[in-house]
Amino acid sequence: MEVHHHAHTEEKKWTHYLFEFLMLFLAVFAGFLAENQREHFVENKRERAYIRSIAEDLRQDINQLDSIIRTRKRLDKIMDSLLYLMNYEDPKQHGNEIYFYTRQIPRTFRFNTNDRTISQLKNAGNWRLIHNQKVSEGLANYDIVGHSLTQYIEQREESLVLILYQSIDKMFDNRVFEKMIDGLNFIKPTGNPKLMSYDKYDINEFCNRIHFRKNSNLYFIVVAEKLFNEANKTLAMIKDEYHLK
Amino acid sequence: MDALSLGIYNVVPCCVLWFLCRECSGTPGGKRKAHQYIQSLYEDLKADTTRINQLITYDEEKINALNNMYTCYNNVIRDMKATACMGVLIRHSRSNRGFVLTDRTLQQLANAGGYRLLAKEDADSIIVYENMYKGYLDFQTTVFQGAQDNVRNTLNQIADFKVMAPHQLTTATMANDTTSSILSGPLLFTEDKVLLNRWFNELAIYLRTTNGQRNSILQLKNKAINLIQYYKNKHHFD
Repeated sequence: MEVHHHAHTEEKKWTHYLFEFLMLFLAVFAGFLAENQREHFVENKRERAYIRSIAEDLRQDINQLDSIIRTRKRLDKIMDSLLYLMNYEDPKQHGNEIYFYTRQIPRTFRFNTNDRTISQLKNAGNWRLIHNQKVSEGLANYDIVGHSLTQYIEQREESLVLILYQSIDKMFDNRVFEKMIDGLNFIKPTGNPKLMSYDKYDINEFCNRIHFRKNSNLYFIVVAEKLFNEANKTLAMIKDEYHLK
Repeated sequence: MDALSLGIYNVVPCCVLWFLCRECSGTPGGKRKAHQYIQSLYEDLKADTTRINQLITYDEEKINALNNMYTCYNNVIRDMKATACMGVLIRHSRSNRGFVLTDRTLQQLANAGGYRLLAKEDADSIIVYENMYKGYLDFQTTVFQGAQDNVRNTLNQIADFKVMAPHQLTTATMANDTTSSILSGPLLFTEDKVLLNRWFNELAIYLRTTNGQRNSILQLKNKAINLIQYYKNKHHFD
């Protein structure tokens, strides 16, 4: 009968256990390094994705700002013409133009910034992923100018428009306005529609209100042009720093 | 010592070491992230301070000019055509500038749960700063804006457009206010002294609210400077 004997096991030295421990430790440490590298890799990838998205937002903002600035410059000319007719011509002879210009002035052409990416950066705490300090500060600066345009200026402009409406409601005939509507546009009324009041105090107050509205529009243009330049500058910087096309 | 015990003796210290490595290196879940937030906030505070300084200069010029309103009132009430002094008052009361906080880091701290990563004293000081800004903003958009609207509305009633407007229609930005204060003739469109008195009363309130706004923004600036100094010392920023 064959008998199996247990093989004789030699007592291991403590150095052998130390060696085993070190090997295991190195394996775990290598895993840790790999994980760290992977995190960096993922973060870099996310950073580039964010940057590409920001560049796209900036391009859209630039187009929108360009259009708004042109529209508001046209509005400035309209207000100029209206003030001229009210003060240096006989308003009774220019009813159709006065109605046509007045109806357009309360329109505020607002700027809606494309902040989908910047909002994501802020809300998800990912702004830190933008490692390039220059770009990060450029974006923060752009965000601030954008906010001052949308928060303060537009709100104040809105309050000036509401005040202007007090004069419009008093001096203009709503039936004439009603006939001027053509979809989203206005058409110049035919004939020479009359104002409800030619009182010199009413006209003076109306002109002063237009004056402040005009000034707020000019201020908007100045800030919008600054924002337009910031957007172009930031976009150029991003393209340069991240080698985007 | 059996194999199981030996395994445990090896694996447990390895795991502990791995955990310590992670803690020390500050993986994105920890200290590194907190440090990034603080550094970003530090940059934001520096940017805020620069803009606050501009605003304080703007408000102080306004306060100095409006302090002369009482002499001007005495002159105008005696002679309704002696309105030259009103040009300066109009220039400094026709509009105002607000301060927008750089919120890139504050929003991240609040929305992405970043506050929990910071030391308690860091988080508390930031919250105090943010609350001070909210107080300023509330004052700016309610009390101050109300005073601004009142003073402008009454001006619309008393001022002759042909005298006021041509000299005032310039673009005025915070850094470069080129609005003229010279009037081309007597400003008043009406002889109504009650209305004139109302404008000066509203101007006095406007001056008080401008003072209030300046003090509020000054406090905010001091807080920002304290925070900058605090972070500079604590985290050794440049």
